[in-house]
Amino acid sequence: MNGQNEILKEVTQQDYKYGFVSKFDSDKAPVGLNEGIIRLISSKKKEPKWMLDIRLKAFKHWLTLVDKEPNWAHIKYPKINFQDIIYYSAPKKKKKLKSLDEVDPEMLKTFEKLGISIDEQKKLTGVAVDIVIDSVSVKTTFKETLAKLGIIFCSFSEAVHEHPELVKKYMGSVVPYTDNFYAALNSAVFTDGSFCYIPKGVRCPMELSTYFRINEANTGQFERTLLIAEEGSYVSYLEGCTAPMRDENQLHAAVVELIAYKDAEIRYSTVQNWYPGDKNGKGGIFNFVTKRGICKGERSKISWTQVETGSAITWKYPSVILKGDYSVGEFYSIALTNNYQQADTGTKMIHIGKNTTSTIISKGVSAGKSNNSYRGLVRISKSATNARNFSQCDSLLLSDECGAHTFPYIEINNKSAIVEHEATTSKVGEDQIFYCNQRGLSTEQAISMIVNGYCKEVLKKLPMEFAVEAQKLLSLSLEGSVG
Amino acid sequence: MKASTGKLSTAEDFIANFDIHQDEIFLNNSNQYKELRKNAIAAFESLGIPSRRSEEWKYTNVAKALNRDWVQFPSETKKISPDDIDSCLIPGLDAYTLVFYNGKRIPFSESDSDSAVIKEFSDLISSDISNVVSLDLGSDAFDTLNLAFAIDGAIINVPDNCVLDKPLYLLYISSPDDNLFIQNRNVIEIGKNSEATIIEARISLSSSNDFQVFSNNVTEIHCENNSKLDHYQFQIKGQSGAASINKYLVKQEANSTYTSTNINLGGQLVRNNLEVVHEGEGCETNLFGLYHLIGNQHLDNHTLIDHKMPNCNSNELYIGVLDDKSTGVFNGKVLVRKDAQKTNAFQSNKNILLTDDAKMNAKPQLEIYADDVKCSHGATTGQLNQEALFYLRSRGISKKLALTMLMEAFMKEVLDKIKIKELKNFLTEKLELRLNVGDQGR
Repeated sequence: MNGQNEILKEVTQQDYKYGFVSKFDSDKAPVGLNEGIIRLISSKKKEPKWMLDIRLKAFKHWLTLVDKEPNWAHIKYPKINFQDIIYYSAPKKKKKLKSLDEVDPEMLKTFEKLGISIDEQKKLTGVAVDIVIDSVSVKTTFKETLAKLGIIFCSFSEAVHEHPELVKKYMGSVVPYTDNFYAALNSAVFTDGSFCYIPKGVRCPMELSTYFRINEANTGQFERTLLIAEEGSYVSYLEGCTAPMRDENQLHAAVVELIAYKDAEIRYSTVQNWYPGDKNGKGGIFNFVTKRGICKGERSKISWTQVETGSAITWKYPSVILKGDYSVGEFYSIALTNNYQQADTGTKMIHIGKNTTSTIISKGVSAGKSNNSYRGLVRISKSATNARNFSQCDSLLLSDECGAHTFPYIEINNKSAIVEHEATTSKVGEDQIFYCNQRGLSTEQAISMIVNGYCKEVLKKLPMEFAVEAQKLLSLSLEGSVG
Repeated sequence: MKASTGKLSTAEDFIANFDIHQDEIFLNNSNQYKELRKNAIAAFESLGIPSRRSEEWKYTNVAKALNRDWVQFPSETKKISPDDIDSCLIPGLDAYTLVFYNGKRIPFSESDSDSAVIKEFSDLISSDISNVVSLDLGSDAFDTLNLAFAIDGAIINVPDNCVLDKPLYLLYISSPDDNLFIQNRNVIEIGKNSEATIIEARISLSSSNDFQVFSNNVTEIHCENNSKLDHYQFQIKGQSGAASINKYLVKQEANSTYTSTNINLGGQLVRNNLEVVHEGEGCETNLFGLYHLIGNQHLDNHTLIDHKMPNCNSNELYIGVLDDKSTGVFNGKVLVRKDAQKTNAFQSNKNILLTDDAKMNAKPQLEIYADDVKCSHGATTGQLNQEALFYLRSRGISKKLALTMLMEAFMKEVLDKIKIKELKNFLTEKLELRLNVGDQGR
């Protein structure tokens, strides 16, 4: 055990490898939140009046919610002072960029440090990357290729200007501003995000990807993503995040909305590796995200895959509303917490249409003094005849001071429903490690192997490029940790 | 007993009623117990009646059920006939029997009811309060309400090194008149190296379509080192006219075994809170539950197993069939604390819905702070196997009988846990009647 503890100590003392600040000139709003700030954000972004109206409506609603932040999650954190946050910060744009050479070299270096070279990605993987740094989309690649197919893939503010009819129609249709505290806040102050529209019958030929980075100290990050897949289309969307090291807590409250029409399929994958705070639990990102998709048409499919290794606090429930008959919802998740990290994450599967199916696979890994909770809802509405759900939530404990919790909610209102839920909690077996040791593997390698095997079911759902990164992340955070 | 005027429906009414009826409540109380009651009513005042906003009461609207003028201290109630009592006995079962009628213990003719293990309620309230097992005034409104008001209940004290020769039968009968609000507080202590079997029956003679009896009961159970308690609880009748909240607080010392088997067929609104705490190592806890709900019945089973100590095992199995417009809730929580290494905890909840109007809400939870543990839970909801049904039908068995057979087979898993033959037969018969086996010829 001693040896294992030392290894554990080593791991827990590892510094955040991606902690650095890149130096851009940035354009910041004053600290605090009031109507003036919202008007400022809106005017900075040269938004039309209807957009400003939406923001102000959301802000008015948010004011009624002040001091009513959700507190049911199994997480603890000091009260957030929402007047102590800068709500707008954008890298200063000097001119429109045409090629990669024109991108700020500092920014390119940032990506290099992250191990995500745009060039390399462009060449090797054919991924179109919409780079988002501190809320403003700086560069969009492969846009033309996509445009030929009629696919719109741009920053949210661009969409507001160029496709107002789509934004007006769909924004807030899945996550209305009245949905919850953070959705209201986001609707009022969101700065940018990604917008994607796949026309009827089009299969998006490449993985769409966007990298979010929180860059400016003390800046709340309020992203908004809207993804629409028309009848018979297919899209796979990748979202990955890393953030620099900071001492103050940073708030991230994003909203993601997915809409899938008849026979459409959306795969949404996330690798989240934001700064989790240091080993004493100081600093780190507060990640309060509302993600929801709706399967509007028959046989539509939405699949969420997430690998959550970062953030001091994660509060995130990517959900699917299964409205169309025969629609399918999937949720595959790996949540890894270490040190003082807290994660309360899971999904909601709301079955409304007939013969709808959902699958939930959640793998939690807790180490250090962290707490990791799965919280999920499966609701079979009265109309959802022959609905089927299978949920499996496993937790792995790597130290004797961490916690792993499961809070599933199962609500069945239709007799033909078949719903199964199972959960297990265990630690890495000493006999498993011994077996590997015996065959010449170090304990570290053994743990890495066992955890990777344990998570394989989810990892294999990730697109190739992401799976590699995710695996790297997992073994990085877990090397040798066993208690 | 003096005539009562205090009608109840809100928390304020209860608090006012406490002052009005102090004479009855404080009768024969020790000073400590009086103090305890006062603290309890103060705690109740600050907690209030839980609404559906409270996570613990999310699926059960108790405020609605309470919204009626309840009478807590009736001037008189209808007498119960010996025939009525006989109808509530388990045929062929030889047991020490205690009968409570509308919350009051009534003499039962058989002499064996005077067994040495049965104490008087006044023994509890007149003595100092150290033998009251658990006093958590902070969280449960109905527990505090019960503590403040309860003036009767079963006090069982099985001494050390004693194996009880016969089961104890605690029979709680309620009559349908007067909108009674009944509260009993029971304290059961099982001494070191002792063994006992307790059967608890809640039978409501009520038959109307609205709540006519509301009972709020608390049972505190203390299992000493190496002791063993088999605890059966069943509720029959009163599916349209009885509401009850039953709380069981179980403390287990080292190497003790506690087995609870809860069979729920009756009651319009029933909430069972079963909380087990391990205070010593090597404990074993088995919680079994079976429910068959019809009409508008609403059953909410809450269980909590608090694994505080290492090397303990728990095993939980709740099975239910929901028919008509009934609603079932299962909220099972397994808490494994930091020091409870080498814990094994298993939990399973299986349900069958027979109609589209029936509802099932399940929330099986694991909260784990120790690493060397094996814990799992499972929850399923589905319907009877169509292929099995076809198999039976193809052999000339009527659809109704085939369905009944399949349901019985499904529920057998828990029925088979009943070790007392007479009780098992009695309950199987009750269940079969509900499943309409009588109509098999059709």
